[in-house]
Amino acid sequence: MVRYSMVIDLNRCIGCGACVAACIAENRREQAMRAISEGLTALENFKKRTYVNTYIQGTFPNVSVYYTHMICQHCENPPCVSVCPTGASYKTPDGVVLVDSQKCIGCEYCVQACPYGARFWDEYKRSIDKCTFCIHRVSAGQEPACVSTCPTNARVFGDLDDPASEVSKLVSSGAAVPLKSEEGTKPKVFYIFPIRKR
Amino acid sequence: MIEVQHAWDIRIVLDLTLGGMGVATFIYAFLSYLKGEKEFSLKAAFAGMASLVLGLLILVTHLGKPEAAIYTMISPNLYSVMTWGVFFNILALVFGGLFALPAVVKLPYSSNEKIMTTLGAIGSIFSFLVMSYTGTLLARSSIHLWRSPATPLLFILLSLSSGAGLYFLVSHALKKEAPPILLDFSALTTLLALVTTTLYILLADISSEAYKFSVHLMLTEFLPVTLLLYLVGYAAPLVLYLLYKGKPSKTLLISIALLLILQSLLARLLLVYTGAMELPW
Amino acid sequence: MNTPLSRRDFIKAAGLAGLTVAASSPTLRLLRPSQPQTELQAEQEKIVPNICMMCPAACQILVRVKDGKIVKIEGNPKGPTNLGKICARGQAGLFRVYNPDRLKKPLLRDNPAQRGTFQGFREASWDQAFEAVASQVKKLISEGRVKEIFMLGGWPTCLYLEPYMKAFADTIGTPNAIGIPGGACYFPKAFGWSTALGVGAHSQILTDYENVKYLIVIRRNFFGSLSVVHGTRAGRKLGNYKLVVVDPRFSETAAKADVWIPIKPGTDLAFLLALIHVVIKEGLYDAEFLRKFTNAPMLVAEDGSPLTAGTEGGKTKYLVWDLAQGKPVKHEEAILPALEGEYNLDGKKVKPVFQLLKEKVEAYTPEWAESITGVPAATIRSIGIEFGKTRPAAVDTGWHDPKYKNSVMTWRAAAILNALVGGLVKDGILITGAGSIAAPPPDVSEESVMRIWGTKQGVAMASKGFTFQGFLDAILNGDPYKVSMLFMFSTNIALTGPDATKWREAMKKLEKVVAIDIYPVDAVLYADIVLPESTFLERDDPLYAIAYAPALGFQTRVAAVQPVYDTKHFVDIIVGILRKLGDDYYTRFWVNLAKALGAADPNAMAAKLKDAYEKNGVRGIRAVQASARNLDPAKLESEGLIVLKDSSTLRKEMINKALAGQLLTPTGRIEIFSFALNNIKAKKGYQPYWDPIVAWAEPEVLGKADGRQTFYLTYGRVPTMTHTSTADEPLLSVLTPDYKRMAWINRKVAESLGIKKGDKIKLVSIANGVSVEAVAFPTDLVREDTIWVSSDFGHTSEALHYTKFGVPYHFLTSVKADPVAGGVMSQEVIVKVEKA
Repeated sequence: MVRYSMVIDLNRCIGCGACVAACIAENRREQAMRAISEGLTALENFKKRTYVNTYIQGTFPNVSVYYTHMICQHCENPPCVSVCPTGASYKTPDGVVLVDSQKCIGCEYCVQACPYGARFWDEYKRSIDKCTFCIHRVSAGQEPACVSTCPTNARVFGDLDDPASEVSKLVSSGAAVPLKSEEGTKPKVFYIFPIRKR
Repeated sequence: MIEVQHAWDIRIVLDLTLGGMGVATFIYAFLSYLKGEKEFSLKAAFAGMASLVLGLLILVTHLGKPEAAIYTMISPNLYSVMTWGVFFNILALVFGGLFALPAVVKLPYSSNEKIMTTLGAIGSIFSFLVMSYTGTLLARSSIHLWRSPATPLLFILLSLSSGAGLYFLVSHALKKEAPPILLDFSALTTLLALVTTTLYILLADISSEAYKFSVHLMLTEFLPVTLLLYLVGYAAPLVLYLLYKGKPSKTLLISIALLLILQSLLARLLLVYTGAMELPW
Repeated sequence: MNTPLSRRDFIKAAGLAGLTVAASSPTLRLLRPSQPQTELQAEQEKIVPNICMMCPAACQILVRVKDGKIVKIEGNPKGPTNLGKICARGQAGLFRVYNPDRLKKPLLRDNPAQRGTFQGFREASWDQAFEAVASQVKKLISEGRVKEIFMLGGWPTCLYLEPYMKAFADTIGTPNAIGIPGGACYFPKAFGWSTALGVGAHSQILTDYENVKYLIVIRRNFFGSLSVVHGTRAGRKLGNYKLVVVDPRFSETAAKADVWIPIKPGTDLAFLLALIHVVIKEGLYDAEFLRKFTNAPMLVAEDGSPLTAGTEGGKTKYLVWDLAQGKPVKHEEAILPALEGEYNLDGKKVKPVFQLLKEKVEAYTPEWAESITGVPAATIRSIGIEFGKTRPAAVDTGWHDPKYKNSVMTWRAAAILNALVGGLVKDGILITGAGSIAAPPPDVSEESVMRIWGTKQGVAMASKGFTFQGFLDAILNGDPYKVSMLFMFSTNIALTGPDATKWREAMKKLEKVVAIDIYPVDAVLYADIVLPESTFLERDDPLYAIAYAPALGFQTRVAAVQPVYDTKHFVDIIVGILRKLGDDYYTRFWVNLAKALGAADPNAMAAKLKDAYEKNGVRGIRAVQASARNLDPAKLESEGLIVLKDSSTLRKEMINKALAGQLLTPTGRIEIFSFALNNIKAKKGYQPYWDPIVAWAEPEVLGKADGRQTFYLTYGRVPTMTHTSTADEPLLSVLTPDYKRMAWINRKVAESLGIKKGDKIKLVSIANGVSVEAVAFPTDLVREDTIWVSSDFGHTSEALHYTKFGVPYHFLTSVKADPVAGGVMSQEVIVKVEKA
């Protein structure tokens, strides 16, 4: 059994936004083109499947900056799947959580159910949208667009059920940890937290 | 980072208010039907169903893709409270509608008491389920403010209060006496709703960051709404109720009725708009 | 009386209705489960190689095209520059092609009074546009005023455009053509390195991030400006090396550092000199490297003149003191050349260069450096010792540094510090493929405005012609002579020229302004003739050397789509203009181009180029270039690149070259004593800015900011932008967080001035009184005496609809030229801060 998973190393992340841009180009290109034709305001409100936040801490000169990454966690116990009234939100046997656009009614119950804020209503596509782990690329033997493009290899993708994969090693060593595990969602995106030195 | 929910707006609030009110009115109407008040009860029941329909129509305008709603029939997800909600609403409408339609249109079974009682009873059961599912729906989300057993409880109480309000308005319009026991009951539900709401606020200190933030919003950005809810939605109907007990008047009753409906609207608005999540980014 | 509807009838009717609905095809379609797309559907896509042009770093990319539209850009995994990676700007490249703000057709305007706006333009055909350009050129030629034509190129002249622009200018007969990045960006840094290493331009040297164990980064932000070639190598190895970042602002690179040194702006040279002092004092230097690879053992007389011994194979030979033989010999013949001591040669006292270096840096103690830089002496000392004890260690190559009067000497000091620990050529700083085949930049004509102005300013390297700043005097005052027709090749000089307000005033005075660009940026609004260029994804390009990578090879662009609008390739634009001037001009162009491309036999090459171009356009040019190097044009077209020497081969080769005295320096060795600087000293007398060994030289702004009323102004980049050229890329514009567009001011200082986040403030340049508006960002990420802004913004063109706010940095700078390289001294600015 394959269990797709991602590890994001926040030490390696330099906050460049390549992953954000790559995802838009790969997965929401037509929507982006439409937002471009609508103008700057539409672009400011353009929702994203993944984004990076920057945090600044400390007082001069003892300061630090770190980055966090939002992305769908492709939970093993996905609350978005259990609340979807039409079954539009579903989980594949490979552990990828997807949206069947045809069945989505846009009630946004899943948006309220997701503790990671990973889902959004795509008004161009008329469906809820979110990260798909680029399953169309993965099925063709490639990596997700964000993983492929990241200049510092901060994002790693692989099969948790394969003990030789890098994601398995990083997770089993304890270096990469899940977020909001108290919600019981069993997320499959793990983070290596930045280490601060003095 | 704390993110205040934006997906559900005034249209959801209106659906919750109108729907919750309508089904409660229906139940009261059915009870009065059982007590013998045939003609009036059907009209009250119709008003209840109309309110439910109006709420659902407003809800449909919120749906991003309403035409896909057919999939709730074709491939329903039985784990979803919303799926059950769809069934309950439809069944409440069907049975409640069949019960109430004779108020405006002559139907062959309307004089058959057995059929009517069955329709009304089934309609009432589903009406109660509609009243309860809305709170449960909110409780099954990631928004900590909503995620407690108090939410379904509060939603039921608000439905019962506002449903009484609509019932009083229909009674007044059709020149009927409002049953005193319903007025007492609505005062009780108002009091319980006030207590439940206050508990939400008091529990903030021992709750999560997201919950704390929601309550913080209630007391800052949404303070006018909170104050309005307490003064106009809770306190005023109770005060007017006591006054009415001393000296009944039509004006007082109408005022109480309107305030009860406002209570449901304000409380649901406050709860929905201050819903927040703490995202780990 | 109505027959009541029976229950059975009702149910029958309902059932029938239901069945009909269910059986209808729309419903059946709803019942079919939809399949998510699982295939890349590669069979419908074609993949085309190209070179990203969203920034100068020339990453190799693969472009996915479906049904004639670009659908995605990927890094080319075979590309040695970016190793298959692409940044946010590269990913956004596909949206550039379809950006509605693009220039779509040639534009003509008859009323020069409308310059500065996008008003009054009418669309024209290419023929009309070429005619308009040619008629002005012909007029000037016939009146003997052809030298009044001047050409400026933006960063696309780096790597790509320069030979074509130069050939164009030479053909028309004007000496006045130069890319602005020399003076505005790389030449001071490049020259500083080249005084030691022979090469130093961006594409020619690369820090060995793969192997370095201790890295000091000064005046650079490779994780923030994100050249992928550097960012990806440095990023993957984070944690493998100790990273020390020296920057008055906590940049994106500082965010990854082990140590952040918030140094006083302009004083990095003092920091490096103190490190040199520590490394020498503690005996941590690599004596063997100095003996074998550098001219550190070279003997110098008491008057400072080196003991040369003729030339061989174009390289200057010199004497060293051989400790083994006890006598002075040529360096090649010595067994154990002395690094220290004083020796007697024919009654004259001589010392090895290293001895002189040691004596010179004696005074540059960490305590001395602390008083200048503000960095604690103990910190400097401990970094010096760590740096000296770690192998391999390096000071990063730097990138953009025209910032201070002492920029050249700063990078020379970096090179020397690297040499002391063996961190050049074999380790630390590698020479890239482009560097391995580099030639020194040629001199420009003595009649050019740039050279005349530079010489007048006393710029030592004025002959290279990088001092484009001089054109302002020519336009406004006719000094040294009037210039009246400007060709702008992808440059936004109205926003990026020093003293930009003066540039805007000046462009209004010209007789004719021609702009070749893809967007209606601020500078284009000053044109009378606008010639729209095709974007990089819409064109087949000539052959270029693979730049920045530690490998030798060649690369090209293949058009992913045909031009979406009525735009042309820059080659076609130049040819179109020349054809209007006449056949002789057209024919001469090919000879000049062959010369500019470095052909051994320009006339023969010219004939081939012309013939190939006439048959096949720019693809023909590429084919000729490829066959001249024995490269397969078909392979180039399908893969985009050919690597001739991989990184380990190249490294070995450069090591051998260095050992054999064949580097690009006058002596062929790493020059701890620079002959180039010694020549300058001979002509101009001594100044620390060109000390042949190394010396402290002050920045102009030293001590001029008090951190209460007056502040050092500094600037930098953001990872979603490329200088000012991507401000109108729709996605990149909104992906840039607002605080990166604001003026960063130290939080405590802001508080004392009553400034809060988001307040509108004014930055007022002390030197020229110009004031610009900015939005304040009080932060702990910057020194108290320093203001930082991104220089990527500040556009005012009404024709750009996706730009957002920012600070037009160069309104605050003035026309300056550093005395060695002629750089614009862009950070020698002191500002006052006022509430708006």
